[in-house]
Amino acid sequence: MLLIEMTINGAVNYISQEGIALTYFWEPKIMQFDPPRYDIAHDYGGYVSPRFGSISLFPDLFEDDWPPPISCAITIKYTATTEGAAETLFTGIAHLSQLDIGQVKYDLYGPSYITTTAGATAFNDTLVNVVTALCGGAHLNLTLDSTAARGPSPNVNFTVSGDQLDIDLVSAIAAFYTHLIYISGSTLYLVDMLGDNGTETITEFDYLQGTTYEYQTPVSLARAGDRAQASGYPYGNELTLAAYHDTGANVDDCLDDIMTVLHKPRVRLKMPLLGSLPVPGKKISWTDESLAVDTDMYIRTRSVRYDFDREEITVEGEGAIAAT
Amino acid sequence: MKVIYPERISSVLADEANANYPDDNVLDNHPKKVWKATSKDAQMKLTCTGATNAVALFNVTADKITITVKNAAETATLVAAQEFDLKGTDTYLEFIQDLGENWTQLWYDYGYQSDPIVVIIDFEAAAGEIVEAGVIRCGLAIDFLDPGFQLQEGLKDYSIVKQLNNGAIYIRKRDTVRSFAGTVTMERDREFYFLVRDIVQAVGPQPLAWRITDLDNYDWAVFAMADKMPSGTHNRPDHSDIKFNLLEVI
Repeated sequence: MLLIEMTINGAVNYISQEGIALTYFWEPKIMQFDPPRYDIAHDYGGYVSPRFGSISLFPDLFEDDWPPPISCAITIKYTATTEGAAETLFTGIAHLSQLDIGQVKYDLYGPSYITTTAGATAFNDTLVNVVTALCGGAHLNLTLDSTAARGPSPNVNFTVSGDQLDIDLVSAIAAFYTHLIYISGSTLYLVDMLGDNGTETITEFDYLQGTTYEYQTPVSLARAGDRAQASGYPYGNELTLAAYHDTGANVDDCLDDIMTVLHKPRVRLKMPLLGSLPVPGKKISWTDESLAVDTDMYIRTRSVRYDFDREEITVEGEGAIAAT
Repeated sequence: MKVIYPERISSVLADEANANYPDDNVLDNHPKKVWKATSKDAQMKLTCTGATNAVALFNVTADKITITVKNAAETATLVAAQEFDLKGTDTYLEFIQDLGENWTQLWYDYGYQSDPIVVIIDFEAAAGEIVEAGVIRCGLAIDFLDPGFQLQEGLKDYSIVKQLNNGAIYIRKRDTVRSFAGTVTMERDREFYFLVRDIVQAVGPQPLAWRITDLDNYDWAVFAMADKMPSGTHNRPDHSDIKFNLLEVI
């Protein structure tokens, strides 16, 4: 159940797609909600950023506050049971975009991260320590959670070229070292793309028809700086990246890890909106008995699309496919 | 068949209410947006202006309801306390015992009152439950002939149903509401135009309190909208047949 707290002229309004009587009555005032999604910057890692579109509301929500305010604070939550169990998906600002006879439409904007790191800043430390520095008060001002980061943390050694947005810089560094980052509240999570950020096993009663299994065009050669690593595929695409280390062997390791991730099968798994929502990096395992041969699957969550209108969630990520 | 129109409640006052579910909730058009008491016993007073003769309650959680009608100053009892059992146990057939959920709606024709009144409703729920009421309407119940024998009753379901990967069905149960459709024969100049022009044309799809037949069973009380605007046939010199389609609101 979608629960939205929307502050209209100082008063919190509790709204949803259907009338839900919990601690509060969540009034059915949502006409349409673009499926929000979390997308990873690169298939091999980086920032898993939220992309919230717009929300259309029934005009009578604003009967006592007409015309609708230009902007409202908004918190979007999801729960399968109670308000106490609700998980916050989004906290940000709703900005009025359209008003007509049948709807009041707001675009949603999340927090922005516009701090920068000056050019010529040098880093020579572990990935965790570099990200910790970029999460500091002068930068992103977030608390780092590296519980699911790789151990030992790989070494980072490079000098920033020109001023860069901190969030872009962290995303690029993390991706090069096959890590993803995501932000929840005031915490930045650093997660190893080769490891798990929680696990879950589902059965065939937990996911919908329409799940797809895909293999990407292989990478034949990956380059970074003055290094290049060939894959086992003599065909496919070439990949060129910025290097975040100056030692050849370290760069080679990073390129191998990146190709390992890119060569895994990608799965788009559709599930009913039930229970807790998957966080980036979560490993989901199941057996698909609808294929020609019963097949064991797992993916690690990279992108998530929530379709609240259709009560579906689509989880995408790379993983493994094997006969049972 | 009856419909309460116009609605005559000017204010409501409950002796107890959950702060998030105030007593005014019974005045809106959403039965699911309930007034919640804080215990299994609660009282609500309806202050009504103008002439009235009926009160209807929808989406109620209570085993027993007692209704008393007093004058505006509450110094004189106009209609003595009448007790209603909503537990819904029904043994009218020998081998089928209807032990379904309680009735959640009630309709009471207490007789014509020309002056402003206060309707006092005492609710009593089972031990451990909390009294609730979704919508309450009090006003003039306009009486029409009952629908003909072809009266239809059905259900409309808003649940979400999807097919899982193994062919099984995923269901998220949501509300299921009742629908009624039928034909009523009416005296044209008075009843037909009153219903079509003065009531439905005035309120459009906004819900009203309806009692589909005059039978005593509370199942015929429904808070419903015109799912399709009524249409009639003027096939007799003074009478017309009118078709109606009502859909319970949530």
